[in-house]
Amino acid sequence: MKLKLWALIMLDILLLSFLFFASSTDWLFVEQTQTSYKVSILMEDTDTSSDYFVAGVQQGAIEHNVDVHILEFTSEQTLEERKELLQKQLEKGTQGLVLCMHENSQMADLLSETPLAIPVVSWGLERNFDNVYANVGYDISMEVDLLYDVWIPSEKREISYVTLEDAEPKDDVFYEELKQRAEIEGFVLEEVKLAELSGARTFIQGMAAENKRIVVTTDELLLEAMGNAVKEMKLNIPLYGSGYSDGVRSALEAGAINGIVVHREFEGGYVAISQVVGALQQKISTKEAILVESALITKDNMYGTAEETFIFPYK
Amino acid sequence: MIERLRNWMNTWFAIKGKRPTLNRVIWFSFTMTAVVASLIMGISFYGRFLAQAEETTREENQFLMEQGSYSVTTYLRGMMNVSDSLYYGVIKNKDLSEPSVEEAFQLLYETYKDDIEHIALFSEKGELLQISSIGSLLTYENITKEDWFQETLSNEGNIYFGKPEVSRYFSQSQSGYSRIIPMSRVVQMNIGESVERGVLLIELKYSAIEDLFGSVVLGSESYLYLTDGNGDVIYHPEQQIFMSGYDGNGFQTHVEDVDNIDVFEQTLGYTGWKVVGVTQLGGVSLSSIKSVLFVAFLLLFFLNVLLVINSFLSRRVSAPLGALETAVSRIEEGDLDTEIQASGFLEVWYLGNAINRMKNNLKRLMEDMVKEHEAKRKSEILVLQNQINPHFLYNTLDIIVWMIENEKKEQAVKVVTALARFFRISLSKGNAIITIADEVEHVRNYLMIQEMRFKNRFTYNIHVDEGVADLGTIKLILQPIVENAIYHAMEFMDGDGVIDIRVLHKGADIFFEIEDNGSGMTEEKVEAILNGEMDKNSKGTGVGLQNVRERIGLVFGKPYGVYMESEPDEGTKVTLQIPAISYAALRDRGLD
Repeated sequence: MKLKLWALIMLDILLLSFLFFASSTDWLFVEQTQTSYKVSILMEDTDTSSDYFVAGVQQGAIEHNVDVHILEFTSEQTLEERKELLQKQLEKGTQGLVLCMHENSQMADLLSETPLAIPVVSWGLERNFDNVYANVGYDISMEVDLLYDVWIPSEKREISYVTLEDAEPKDDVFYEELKQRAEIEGFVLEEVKLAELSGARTFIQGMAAENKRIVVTTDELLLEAMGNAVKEMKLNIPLYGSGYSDGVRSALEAGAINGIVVHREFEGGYVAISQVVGALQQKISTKEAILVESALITKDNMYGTAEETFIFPYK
Repeated sequence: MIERLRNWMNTWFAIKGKRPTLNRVIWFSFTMTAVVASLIMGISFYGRFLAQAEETTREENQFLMEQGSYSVTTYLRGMMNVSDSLYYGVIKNKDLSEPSVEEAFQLLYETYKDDIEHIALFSEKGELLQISSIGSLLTYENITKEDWFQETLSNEGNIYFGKPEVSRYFSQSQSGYSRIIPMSRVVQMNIGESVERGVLLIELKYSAIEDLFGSVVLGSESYLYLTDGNGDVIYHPEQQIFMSGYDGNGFQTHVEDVDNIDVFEQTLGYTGWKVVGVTQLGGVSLSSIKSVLFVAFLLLFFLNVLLVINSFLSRRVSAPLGALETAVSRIEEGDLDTEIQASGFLEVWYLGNAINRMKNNLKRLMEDMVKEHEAKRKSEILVLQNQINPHFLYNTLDIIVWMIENEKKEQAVKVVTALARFFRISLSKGNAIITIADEVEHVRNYLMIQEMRFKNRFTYNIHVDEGVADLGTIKLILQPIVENAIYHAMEFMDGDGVIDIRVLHKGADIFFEIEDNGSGMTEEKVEAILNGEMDKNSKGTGVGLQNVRERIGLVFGKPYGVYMESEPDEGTKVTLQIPAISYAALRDRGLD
């Protein structure tokens, strides 16, 4: 009986001690402070759309308590220089990476030559690299479809795809999609490469004289220049493209640009940062390919409730 | 069920199969009461604590929300004052063609350009009449089709607040396509001689609203948003995500007052807008778990304290009862001198005293019984003493009569004198205790009388040790033995019979020896006499000897009594043994 009593007393003391230390100290249970993550965003050739992407990243960063460092790759940088920049970020303790690169090969080189033990999320075109944790992008094929949905009912069957001679690889992907679809739908697609941006005005004049072609470009500056030319010369050219700049929106509003295909850059940034945090918190166990919504914005719908948020996001 | 519980409790409370102890019952009862009370209190306090914490969080958030509402209201009232100033101070009182009108527009715009994107005045037909900056109305914009324009005209007298939109009517903007909230009203304009209706538009910068809400810092799980009177969202901290319909990580697009989420709503007076606060309440957090553990700790600690107190109290109650029980057990065993210390609580104290009184009464009663028994014994002694007197008296009186008839006066006088002295000692004023001297004198008188009666049949000798004369003895113990010697041993003696009487002091005892040289007895007869087994019809039944033996036994107890040695034709020796006690001490024993 005495042994049992002593055992009971010891148990009681143990229980009391446990309850005290568990409830009144941090020795047993530590209040989990909100974790802060360091994430680097490596962007290539930023433009207006990149601003919205960054805005989305920042919104996500606020929500997920992420310390974001944005680093810009310029087209002049060599692979070695980019690797060095990336290495510096790693040395600074970055825990996650969002890569916004246009060219798959460059990205592949960068990732293959820099062993990364941190989650990497790519933004833009769909990639399938082993060490990329998630792809957040947009569906170019769908964006092309949106354009053809407008073009097919019209009488015009010739398309001029205009680029600058130093066009980005992403434009090539877009062109390939246009081309495939043109063949299917019976359109004639020609690729026009302008030596300089200033050639846009002359090109538009030429198109106006011909008056049978649909003009399309994925270069924001080129679209803006052509749109301004159309507006100034008060021409009637079916001009399409992609871009968010004030000039593009102004030309769209004025009717100088017939339509732009856009995707939700803001949401792309938001989702990309969410994916990195998800990977860091190990909430997601499989790779995910996430496509943000795309839309064709015209003069008529640009201030529509849904469409407005594509090109005038709440930043 | 109740029976089973009772059985269990009886088993648990019992020690070694005995009935339940008071100590355990009290301890268990107190403890169970304390446990139940503690649990009720603990649960109640914890519930109250949680409710209070939630209430505090709610109040704090409501306070912050009211602050936010106040800031927005102040801002909107400020903008309405701008509109009023412009309308009542400029547009209504001055001709629009006056330069001071444009200056007033510019002045107000410059003053409030952090909050205002454009200030513009339109005619009822949508013509731009005045603008705060250099910009002009874009030619392709038909302002009259805009919702805000139409709503303004249909609600003359009121200031209309539109939904957030992109500023797009003018060719020059401060920052490109920025988001604004149109605030408009119908105005009466003086144009030349005529008074016309127009619409005054002030584009409020959406960023100003964002800044106002951004300055209100709620908890990480709480936020504020702003809706118009129809519930359409004007501002939300994640407006873009909200508007694009993306339902991402943790973002809640449709808030309902579900568990753990509190929604506050406050309507802003003039606009009908509503500030809505969403607060995450409680939930299972480590903090709340720690609170539960702390309450459990307090309960267990409180319970331990109660156990100690209960243990102490139950012992305080049961210990005096235990002591009482021990004392009563000793009394039960016959130890009436056991002292009962009355202690403990009043009731136990009363009980102890009552048992003490009962014990004293019992003791007194037993003493009375002893006294009564003693008195009875004394009366029996008296009865035995009285048995011996009549025979002797009759016989002596016969002798005296015979002596007087034969004119033996001197001898008669001697016998009468001896008889008087014999009876004086026999009576002894009713005392049963006399000195050995008196006892010897008594038997001497008796022998003298009997010598007269049985003339020349025997002689006698008396020896008394020195120092024993004043010792005490019960009276009339020698005479019956001597009487037996005379009547049974000397019966056939013819002048040569001798009776020796010796009073000897040996050690702590006195030995009375009565020895004769008479006919003696067989051993069997001696045994029969000593055991009182003599035939009543035979000569000499041994009653006298038995009488003496019983009296000595009654007064002095064992090993005192009568011993007899006899040899046929040789004689008999009877020895009486009593303790050597002074006469006074023997009387003090109350045996007298």
